[in-house]
Amino acid sequence: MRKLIEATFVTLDGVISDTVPSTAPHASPEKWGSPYWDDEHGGYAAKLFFASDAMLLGRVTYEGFAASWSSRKGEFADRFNSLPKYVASRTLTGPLTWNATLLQGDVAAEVARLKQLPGQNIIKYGTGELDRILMKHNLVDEFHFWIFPVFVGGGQRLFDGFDTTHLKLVDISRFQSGIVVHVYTPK
Amino acid sequence: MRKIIVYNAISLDGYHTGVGNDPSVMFPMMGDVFNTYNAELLRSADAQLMGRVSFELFQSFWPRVAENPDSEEFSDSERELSQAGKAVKGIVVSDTLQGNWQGVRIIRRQDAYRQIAELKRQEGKNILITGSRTLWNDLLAQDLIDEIHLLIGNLILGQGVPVFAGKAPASLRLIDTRRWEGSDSVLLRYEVIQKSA
Repeated sequence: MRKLIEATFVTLDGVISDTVPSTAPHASPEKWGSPYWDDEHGGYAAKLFFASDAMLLGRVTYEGFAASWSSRKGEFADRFNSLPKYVASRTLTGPLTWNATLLQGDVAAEVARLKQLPGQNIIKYGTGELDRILMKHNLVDEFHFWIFPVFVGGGQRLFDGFDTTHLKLVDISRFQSGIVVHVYTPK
Repeated sequence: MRKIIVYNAISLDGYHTGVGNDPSVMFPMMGDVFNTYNAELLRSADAQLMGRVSFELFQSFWPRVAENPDSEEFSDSERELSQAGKAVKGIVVSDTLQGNWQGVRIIRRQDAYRQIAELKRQEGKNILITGSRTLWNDLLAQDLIDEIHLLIGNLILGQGVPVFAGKAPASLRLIDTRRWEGSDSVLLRYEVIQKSA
């Protein structure tokens, strides 16, 4: 069965981005993350990406990605743009742009069905509200947390307000830049 | 010059303790690994700096281990840590801590930066800070912290007391990573390259 893989950037103090509306602009990953985005970082990201042939997104990430990627060109961007996306949202109505399909009704059942289909992995970038459903139903097979060597001190936190969850550590990858990617599976 | 080294266990979402500063939520991830590495750090140190809250927490437990080293109530790693701490002087930074604690020096806050900077200039082994989030966040902003060693657990708490409450970002340089057989925690050791504000 294909896996559902989550990949997300996190600071040492558990911050993933600015809040909406903005209260901590310095918590945006472009601010604290970009100094560490090098070839090694890109190589790891590409490996995850090219082992996937579908993307699962929450509404917030979907809207952000569609706005910033649609006009980009190149081997990575072309595939990023053409890949089928599945978007979970309680507020959007279809049809969606950017090769996206809206997941309607029982999102957990829909994701479970997608995982049964033949194909490569399903990649999910970013974490947020959708993860409450995915984790409750144990649908995420691997988490890749990219731990950046910075403290930010405020902003939106990883899995903010979620129930306490223990994971199983399976691997770490250390980059020259100081990023360490921790890979976990459900416990 | 001797270094000031911070050692904390944190959750993946960056919490130092749970709601209400409850440390017990961290115990499942800490296990023997936390104590074993803490003992290793203590053997390279001759002083341990603490905030009042951590000091009181440590006092509620560690003297009992020292007084009853053979009790089955305690694990081997707890005994090892207790042993490693014997030669290490305790220094508490607090304005409210009263009483005469044997072997413990109390520094008042208005004098803390000067006294800690002076301590660093003296000959000696490293100075260790475990727990004591408020204290080390403050010392980091004063450029008094040299290294931060974080044991990152396999847990998401969802809420709690954040490990870092600084107002500006701090950048670190990764020195080393370490894992232990049978443990889901990862030790990440950093050198401070840019203090926070």
